[in-house]
Amino acid sequence: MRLEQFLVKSQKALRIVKEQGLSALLDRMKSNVDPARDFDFTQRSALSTSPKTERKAIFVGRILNKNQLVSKIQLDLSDKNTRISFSHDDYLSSVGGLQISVTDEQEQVNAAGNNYLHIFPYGASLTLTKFDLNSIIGINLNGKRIGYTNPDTFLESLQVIIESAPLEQISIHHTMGFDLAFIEKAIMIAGEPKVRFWLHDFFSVCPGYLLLRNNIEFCGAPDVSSNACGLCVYGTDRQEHLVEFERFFSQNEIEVISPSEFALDLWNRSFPIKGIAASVCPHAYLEYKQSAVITPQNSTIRIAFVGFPVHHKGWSTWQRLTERFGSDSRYEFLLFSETRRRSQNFKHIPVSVTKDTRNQMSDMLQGQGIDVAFLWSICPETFSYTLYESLAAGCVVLTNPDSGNIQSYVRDHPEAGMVLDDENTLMELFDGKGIVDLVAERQTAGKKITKLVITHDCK
Amino acid sequence: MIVYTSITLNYLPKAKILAKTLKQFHPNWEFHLLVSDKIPADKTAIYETELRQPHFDKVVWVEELPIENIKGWIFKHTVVEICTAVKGPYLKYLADQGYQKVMYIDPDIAIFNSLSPLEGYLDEFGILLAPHLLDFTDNHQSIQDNEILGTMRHGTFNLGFLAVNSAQNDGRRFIDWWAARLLDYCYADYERGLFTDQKWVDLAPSFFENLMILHDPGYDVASWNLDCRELSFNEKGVLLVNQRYPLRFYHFTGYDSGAGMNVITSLTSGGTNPIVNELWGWYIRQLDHNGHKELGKARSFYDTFDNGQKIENEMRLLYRESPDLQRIFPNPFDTDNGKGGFLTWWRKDRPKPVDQPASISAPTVQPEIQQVNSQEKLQAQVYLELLQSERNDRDEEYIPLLNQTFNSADALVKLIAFYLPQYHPIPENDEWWGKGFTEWANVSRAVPQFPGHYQPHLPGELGFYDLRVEEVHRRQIELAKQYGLFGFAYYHYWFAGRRLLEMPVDRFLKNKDMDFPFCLIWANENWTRRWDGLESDVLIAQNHSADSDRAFIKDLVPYLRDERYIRINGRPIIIVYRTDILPEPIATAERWREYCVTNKLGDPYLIAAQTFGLYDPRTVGFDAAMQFPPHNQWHSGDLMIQSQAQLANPDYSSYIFSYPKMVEYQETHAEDAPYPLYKTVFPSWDSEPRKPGRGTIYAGSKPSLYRRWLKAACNWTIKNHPEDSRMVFVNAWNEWAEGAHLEPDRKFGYAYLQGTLDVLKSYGPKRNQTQE
Repeated sequence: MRLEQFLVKSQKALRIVKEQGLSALLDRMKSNVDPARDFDFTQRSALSTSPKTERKAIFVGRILNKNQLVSKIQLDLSDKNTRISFSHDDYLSSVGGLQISVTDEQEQVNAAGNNYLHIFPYGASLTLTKFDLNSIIGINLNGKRIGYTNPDTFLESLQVIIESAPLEQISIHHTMGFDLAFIEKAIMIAGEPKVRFWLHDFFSVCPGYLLLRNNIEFCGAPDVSSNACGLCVYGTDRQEHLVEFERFFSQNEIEVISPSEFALDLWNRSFPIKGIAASVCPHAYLEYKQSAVITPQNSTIRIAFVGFPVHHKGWSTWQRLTERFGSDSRYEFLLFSETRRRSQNFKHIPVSVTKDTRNQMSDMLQGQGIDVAFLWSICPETFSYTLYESLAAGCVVLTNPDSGNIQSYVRDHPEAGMVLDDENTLMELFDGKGIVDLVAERQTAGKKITKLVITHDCK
Repeated sequence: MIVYTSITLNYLPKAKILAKTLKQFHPNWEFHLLVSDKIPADKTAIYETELRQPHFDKVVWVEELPIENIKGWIFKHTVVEICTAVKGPYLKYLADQGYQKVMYIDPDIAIFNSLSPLEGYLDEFGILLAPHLLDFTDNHQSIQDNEILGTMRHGTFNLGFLAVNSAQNDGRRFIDWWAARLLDYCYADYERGLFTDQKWVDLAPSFFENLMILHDPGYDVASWNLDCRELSFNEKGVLLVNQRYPLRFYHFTGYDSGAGMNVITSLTSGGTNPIVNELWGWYIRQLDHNGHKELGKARSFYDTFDNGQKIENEMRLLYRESPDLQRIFPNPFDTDNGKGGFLTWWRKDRPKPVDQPASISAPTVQPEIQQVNSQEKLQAQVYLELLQSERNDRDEEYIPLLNQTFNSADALVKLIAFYLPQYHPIPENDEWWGKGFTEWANVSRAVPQFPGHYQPHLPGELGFYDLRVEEVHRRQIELAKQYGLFGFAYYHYWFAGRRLLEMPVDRFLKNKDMDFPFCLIWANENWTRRWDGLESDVLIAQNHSADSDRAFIKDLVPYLRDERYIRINGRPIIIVYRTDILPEPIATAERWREYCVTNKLGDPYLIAAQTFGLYDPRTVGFDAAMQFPPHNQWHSGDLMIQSQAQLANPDYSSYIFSYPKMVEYQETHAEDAPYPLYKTVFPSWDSEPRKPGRGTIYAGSKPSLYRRWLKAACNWTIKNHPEDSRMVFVNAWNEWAEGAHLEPDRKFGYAYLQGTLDVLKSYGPKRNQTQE
């Protein structure tokens, strides 16, 4: 950093400490080192080339060597079995469906008295990477941060660790930002234990893990030589990406765990190797809770957008829908999300689902008397917590044919809602009496309220 | 099968895409590259590498063609004409060599699926032709653009593609006929009914019986037929046309001029054919990869004499028409070291016409200011243009109001436009300038000063509005939102406690349902008779002091507290137009910060406008700088085109700069700043209305150029700012008297707004990285 920049920065820092306290400065510094902020559609390769020197500088004196790592781990290690898990970020500090699943697994493993050792790559990356001597990974043990180390140091320490607490299983939740060769070495050192590979999304099929061609439209993961892949921003990377995963699956005995039949079917269709052992293990199920709740008819129909208001969850369609019908007295539109969006066409209801408030969404949907859940994901959901939360609250689900497990569930359970062909059909439904009749029918029959039971008991 | 294309060297990156995509499906077909150009002496190594592509089986240079007096022949043609004229003779040459199946494909085409069916058709037919249009609509725009202007003027068939089999009936006859016509008549001479190689082929179906017209819409999809060809993917990822036909090849016509993209934009903004955007996105990425940014700039060798002087059209025309000249100067490029040859004859001895023929030239990036002999002629020309614009005041880049929505929350960049709250009478202006004065008085008095000068700017749908009418303000917000703008930066006129033009902003503040983010720019200079802050004839003065600093920030509180006020990381932004005239800027900044923090408004994010020589915000204790073009470095001598202007007004003393050159400069000069910097763009600039005959003009501005500048500014911002602070400013929403307005006018309609929206949309919506 040039001297003048340093002076300006330090003056600014002092002012922040003076005016807002030290924690404000620390928060700011933390937010500044998050390289994921700089990602955008057109610069999709920018992340993998983010300067390593800067990352390294943050860690001067904080990278654990083998002795430090082993002794820190052993402090908290019981002498029972160990499960190692890999995922793309630190589940202790980020919130999302995948992170909640890892948390659930950790708690379940700990409850049985076993150890849960979690590994994540430091520094955001949206692709697989190649680890080198400067790469950094983070280590958590039983829900506590151990620290950071280099991949090679971890592999050298692994032997010692499993000698104290034998390895029972490896769970691979996500490989983004990892070098698959690193995971393979860990499997080898561990003596080829049971390895389970979770399909939280379709990263193993394409670096564009949402399977949205050019981040726009569901592509169905066609052959990598297709026009669709040729035109897509992920197409070129996908070729090498698939080669890596093919090698990974062909050289290791891995069981695929899918949270839904739909996700497994799509994965089987699009992954180049066939016949890999697999099971379906949903993250949650619905348990009958109380008798049908009859709601008064002819009141305004309440329609909710459930979850993150982002493009791939159908936000653009929601905006057009509410823009068109926002002032229609038959309807009231609400956004149930932690993220706020302002509009005169809908009301925002803040909801924050964390591991301690798991049922907040379904409770709020039920509490606010929501009739219709708008679950318009345009990418294939592998499970969709919001689907189960909406069903638990007795909502009718409206979705489209590209929404993955949402549409699959609704097709299998016609009473759950409707799979509409496209946005035009949606608009027609609201324009005419379609949605009014549907809800009236539901109100007459009564809402079926269920309990959302979270499970990761995947035997 | 032989496939060949014809290029000048600047088309090399495109030809590489064609060859590579072709070989993907037909590795055994032979690809020939026909080049009407020469490699510049200082770039031999680069081009030798480029031309050694494995996909190019053979490179043929125009001077190798068996044509008599080839140099004279080349000279008769413009660059576009020569690239089409060579197609015939080369086709004949190949047939003479015994090649039977030959296909010509334009270099700006890319192949997406196998062309094997064509090979099959050639077993039966001698000639295959692809029409521009296979279907028609009743859409008025489509009739105008595609049927009348496109096809009836330029030819029924698109000669971006042609396939022949010289062994089949009529194949060889066609080749000989077409090659002969191109040898003598391959010109863009609309008056004589000629358009290069293409219009000739309208005669082919009558002359040749064994000819097949391709009715499969999968061939030659391009902007001119997209309204009848819908693109989609099937479940196998195959790109289909009209749900059924695999897309065989797409013609990326109009890439360099921007015309292709403009058509796509106007077609896709209504929601049809969104996949075309992906197709163009892909093409742009391929061109970037192929080094188009540099290689695409190559100047054609045959565009200049051998001393480097550009060959004008008139020179070619005269040479073309005169067998004597062709005999005397067999190599007209040769200037004998500048001492002789055709060029010297042209300069000294050519017969000078009494009246210069009016030449119609194609629209170019450079603003064309035509030269005529006398002041009166110029004035007559200006008057003529005014009359013409009375009859048809719409520019070719005119875009109407389109039905579309876009939420600025989805944009990667927050676009904020400066908003002038003038356009309503106030007592002070009544007193200073006369009863009822508004900015419209200036706007409507402007007249053109030289041929091609766009004045006056006349408003579109909003008319000569009066901001006392609240509906106007509401419609402005509606339009701004519809076209993706994030907010307005209202000018704040505050003179030691006295405010002017405050009504529109205060009304906005009260009406919370006017839902649009805003911030304030303090226009902290004296109010003078000169409109530019220079210290003469002061009407109302600023009085900068410690007390006024505190009074100023205190008066700002209701705005800063408003939830619509624009913030960066929670800090309200305050922009100051002229920090150079604050006597103690660092102290002022500190006083404001202290006041705001004490009053829990958050540490203000102070932005200094880069005006009057101020660049570095740190020198005035501000957090960031904001460009304020055309202030500061913008009046660069390189951009000045004063000398090219032929002025109708003998007393004219304005500065004339080139908007196209400035855009080019902005695209190529995107240095990092050692301090946080916000980019600002202007759609056009011309202060003629405010300062008649002594303003500053950026001539040649066009919506398509503004798009490029805005795109460059957004790219820079995305690269240099974290997500929360990605703002780009536009000067301005409604500075009509400076010719700087996004608001629709009669000439361009909503083209500047549409350009804004298209640029913002071009990044796709913000990507969310949450799993599941």
